[in-house]
Amino acid sequence: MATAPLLLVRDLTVEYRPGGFLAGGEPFRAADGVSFAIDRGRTLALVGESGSGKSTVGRALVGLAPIAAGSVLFDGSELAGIDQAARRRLARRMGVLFQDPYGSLNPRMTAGEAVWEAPVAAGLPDWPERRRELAGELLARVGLGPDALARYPHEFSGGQRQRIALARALAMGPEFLVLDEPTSALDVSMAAQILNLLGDLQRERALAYLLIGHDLALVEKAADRIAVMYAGQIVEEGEAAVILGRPRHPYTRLLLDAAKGGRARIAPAELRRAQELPGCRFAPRCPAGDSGCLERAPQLVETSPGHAVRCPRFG
Amino acid sequence: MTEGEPLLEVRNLRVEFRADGAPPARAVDGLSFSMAEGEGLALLGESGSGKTATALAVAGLLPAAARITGSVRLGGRELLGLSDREMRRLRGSKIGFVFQEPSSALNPVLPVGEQVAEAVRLHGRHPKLARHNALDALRGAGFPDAAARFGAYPHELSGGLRQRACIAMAVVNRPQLLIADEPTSALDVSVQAGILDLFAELRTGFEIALLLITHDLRMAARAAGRGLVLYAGRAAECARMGALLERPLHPYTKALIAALPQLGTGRGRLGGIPGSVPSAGEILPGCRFAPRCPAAAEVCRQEAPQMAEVLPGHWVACWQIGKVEAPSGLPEVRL
Ligand SMILES: Nc1ncnc2c1ncn2[C@@H]1O[C@H](COP(=O)(O)OP(=O)(O)OP(=O)(O)O)[C@@H](O)[C@H]1O
Ligand SMILES: Nc1ncnc2c1ncn2[C@@H]1O[C@H](COP(=O)(O)OP(=O)(O)O)[C@@H](O)[C@H]1O
Ligand code: SF4
Ligand code: SF4
Ligand SMILES: [Mg+2]
Ligand SMILES: [Mg+2]
Repeated sequence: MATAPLLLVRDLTVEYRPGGFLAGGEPFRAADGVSFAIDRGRTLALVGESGSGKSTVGRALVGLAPIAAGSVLFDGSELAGIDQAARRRLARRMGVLFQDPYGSLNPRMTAGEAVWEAPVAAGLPDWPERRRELAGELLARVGLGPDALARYPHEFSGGQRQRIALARALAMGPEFLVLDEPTSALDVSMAAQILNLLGDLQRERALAYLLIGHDLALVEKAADRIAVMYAGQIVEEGEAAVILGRPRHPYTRLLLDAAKGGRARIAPAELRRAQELPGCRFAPRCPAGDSGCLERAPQLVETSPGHAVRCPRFG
Repeated sequence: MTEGEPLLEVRNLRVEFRADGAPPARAVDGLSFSMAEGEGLALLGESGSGKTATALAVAGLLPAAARITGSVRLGGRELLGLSDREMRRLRGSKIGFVFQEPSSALNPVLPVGEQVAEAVRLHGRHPKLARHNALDALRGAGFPDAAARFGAYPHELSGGLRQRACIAMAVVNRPQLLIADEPTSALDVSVQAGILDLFAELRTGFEIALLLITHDLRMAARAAGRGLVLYAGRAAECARMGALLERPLHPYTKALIAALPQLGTGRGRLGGIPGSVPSAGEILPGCRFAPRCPAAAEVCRQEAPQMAEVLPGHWVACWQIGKVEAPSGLPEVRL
């Protein structure tokens, strides 16, 4: 790789302090030593079962979850431990698109307001008389007509709301977007349109994406590289074609098998308990494990150039 | 379409929205279907196909500006034409409704347990047992620590728990019919499966029939026995979910299945379904799917096909059934 990656994540650890209903007890380490890199114009997909920590990683990158340890370098600047002002300056260059387009839009704001409010709030240069024009251009870019400007979220379908959320994210002129299950709430046609649109925008603007998804068939369409997460850790990472075509880690194989019709489902609570195991966290479900696996925690090891596996037996 | 006396019988339902000046928007156009007691039926189709309008019409929740014709019978009783007051009473007792957005259905300043209990006080058989029944319903809806969280406010709960509270509220008076409109699409993927399993439990445990609205074929297969595919306000195909997924006959159902991304096809664009659902204002003669249909012929553009039972229990509205290519070329739907 000639140039430095846009995003370089090293040993990222995120802990949730028990509060609210999870009263008492130790903090829970939802992401535990996660490392990866994303180049400009590229997509890394984060896959794994529910509760494996995917959204936690995505949220930590954009400042929505606390970084307990590790390093996140964005275009050379460290995000871990920076102050609010510096975070806000960098935050303009990173955006996020969530699964639920309704929940992420303010019901009392028109689509036009939603698009221009974010950059104004962030203190970007503002020309009040040009707001409509600029918002209109962005809405047009995501496929919405000028009549969308003055309409409220409830007047749009789910797919259209996701377009508004995307236009709002683009208004900040980001270089990197976290896409957390961006099409899971949409029907097949809308999902295809949104994913194709994201692909066009990526080529146009050299955007880097972290795509979080649970549907491997969908992820395959958009990912350059894939990282597979299990119980807070990455267990395998590499080129998308390699991960999907020649997976090595037993968990990746299980996921692929499930995507082809087999059964793989684990209760999130069980996944949480797996993190307390001294050895391999996947051992209780692993068809190939032996007693040695229960004793030593395997490390993520680069087994061939650009392909890392956390399993000594299949690495 | 079901045996014996149906629980719900919808005949020739038509829903039109009229706005000043604009031509009437016909969201539902002559739809008929029925449901047996305790049955699960999924309403399927792309955005704009009329799923929500149908559900709201059955529950009497459409705005006054909507014009509804046809017939909706629940347990033999005609619902169209009932007063708002009678409909409200029915909704609290015989029909439960769960919305996509749990937050919009809950009162933000009232503890969730109280809201469930209130439903019992208003419409239940034993208002004195309100608290007791509410607690039972919350437990039954998979609300962990129901007693301890009875007094929790909606904002103190996760989206999944809020939706469980809404479901408890909808079923606390043991309705005969539960209508759920995209009940999981606002929820994190991690809690969706649990909610679907809950619907299955309510059906088997309490014989509550479920009308599930979703665009997700896999979810429909998990929670419902039969599926009804709508296109532009009309029925396209109705059959057992297994038959719909494995042997779909209508070109639109096939297109929905073919549009699901398949593993092993590499990076690239997604096909989707070319074209888009006509808006409710456009009234085309003939089959509404014709502009997008690969099998469309002259007859399709002239006259609208009617639903016909082409295999036992398998209904299709298409002129070309038997002429369209065999469904074997379709990808298998993985559940
Ligand atoms: N209040 C309304 N006024 C005018 N037209 C409406 C109204 N509500 C729905 N429509 C129109 O009726 C048609 C069917 O809408 P409906 O909401 O029932 O679709 P749906 O299948 O539930 O779609 P989605 O998957 O997006 O929820 C659409 O063309 C829609 O624009
Ligand atoms: N705000 C939070 N507070 C406490 N625990 C959380 C919070 N968010 C997520 N978790 C827990 O962290 C783990 C990982 O969750 P998440 O990152 O949402 O996983 P995924 O996106 O892979 O489904 C789960 O056990 C989840 O319950
Ligand atoms: S280390 Fe052992 S238990 Fe873990 S994935 Fe490898 S073989 Fe399975
Ligand atoms: S009636 Fe004709 S246009 Fe309509 S679905 Fe059948 S073949 Fe296609
Ligand atoms: Mg998530
Ligand atoms: Mg709807």
